[in-house]
Amino acid sequence: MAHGNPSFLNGVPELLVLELLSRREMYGYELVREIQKESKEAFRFGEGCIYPYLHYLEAGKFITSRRATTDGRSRLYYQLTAKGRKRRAELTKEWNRVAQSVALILGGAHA
Amino acid sequence: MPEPTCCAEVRWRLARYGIGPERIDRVVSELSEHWEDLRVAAIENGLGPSAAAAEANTRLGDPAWLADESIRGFRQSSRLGRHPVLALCVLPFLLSPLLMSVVVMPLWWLDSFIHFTHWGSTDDRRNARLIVAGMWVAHYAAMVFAPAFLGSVVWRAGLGIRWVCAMCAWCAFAALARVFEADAIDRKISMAFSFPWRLNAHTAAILFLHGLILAFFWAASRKATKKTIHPLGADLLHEYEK
Repeated sequence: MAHGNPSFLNGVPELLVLELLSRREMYGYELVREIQKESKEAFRFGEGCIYPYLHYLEAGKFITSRRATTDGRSRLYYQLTAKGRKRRAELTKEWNRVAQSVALILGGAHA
Repeated sequence: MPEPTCCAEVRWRLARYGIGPERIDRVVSELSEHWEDLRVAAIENGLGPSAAAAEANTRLGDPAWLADESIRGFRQSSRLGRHPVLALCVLPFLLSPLLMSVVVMPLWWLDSFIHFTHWGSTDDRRNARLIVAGMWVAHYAAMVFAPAFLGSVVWRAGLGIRWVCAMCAWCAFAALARVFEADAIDRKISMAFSFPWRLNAHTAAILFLHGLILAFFWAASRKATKKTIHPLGADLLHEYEK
C-alpha cells in the first residue's frame, strides 16, 4: 500500500483549525463560530474541546498565540506559522485523497 | 473576571492529574473567556441571566469531559506522553548509566592521564580510595537523580501519580539489577546487570532512596489535591477518591 491507513477522521479537527487560521488570526470562540457558520451548523460539539486542539497545535509549533485586547476584552489570538502552512497542505492533500476514494466507492454503489 | 463554576471544576480536575499551575491557568482562563462570550450571546438572544449561564454551561461542554480532553491534549504534545510504556521500560535503564558515563568517565580518564604508573606509595593508595569514594557518590547521585527527574517529567506530561509511582518503582528495579564496581588501584570500573539480588546495605539504600522519592511525589500530589477546593464542595472529592 502506498499510504498509511489512519482512521478516516484523524486530523479533521486539526485541518479545520489550520484552514481557518490560514485566512486570519482568530481566538477560540471566533474559531468555533466560524466552523459552525461555514459548516451550516453541521458540526455540534462541546465548544471547550477546541482548546486542547489549539494547545496541541501550539506545542507542535504549527500555530503561535498572542494576547491582545479587543473591545475592552483580553483575548488570546492564534496565528498560523510556516510549519503550520506546510501541515495544512499535507492534511488537505490527505483529506482530498480520502474523500475521492469514498466518493469512488459511493459512486460505484449507485452505478 | 470571576471564574464560572464549570471552569473551576475543570481546574479542580486538572490539578488532581498533576498538571502544572501555569498550564491550568491558561486552560481555565481561555474556557472562562469562551464561557463569558457564550453567556453574552445568550443574553443578546433574549435569555435571562440564569438561563444564559445554563446555556453557556451546556454549550461549553461537561467539565469532566473538558478536563479529560485537556489531559489527552497535554499527553499528545510530548513524546513521553504519547509513548509512556516505552519510556517506562527504556529510560530507567538508560539514564543512570548515561549519567555515570558523562560524569565518571572523564574523571577516570583524567586520573589515568595523571598517573601513568601503578599506585605505589601510601599517599597514592589514599588518593585511590578517595577516587573510588567519589565514584560511589556519583553512582548514588545518578541513581537518585534518575527517578526524581523521570518522575517529574512523567508528572509534567500529565500522566498522573500512578505513572509516577510506576516510573519510580521501575527505576528502583533498574538500580537493583545494576552492579557497579570501581577499583582505582587496579584501574577497573565496571557496570553490569545481575539477578538475583542479595539483601545487603546497598540494596536497602536503593529501596530507601526510591521510597523517599516516591513519598515526595505522593505528598506533592496530596498537597495539590488539598490546595484546589472543588467549587461545589467535597462531594466530588469523595467521588474522585473512590
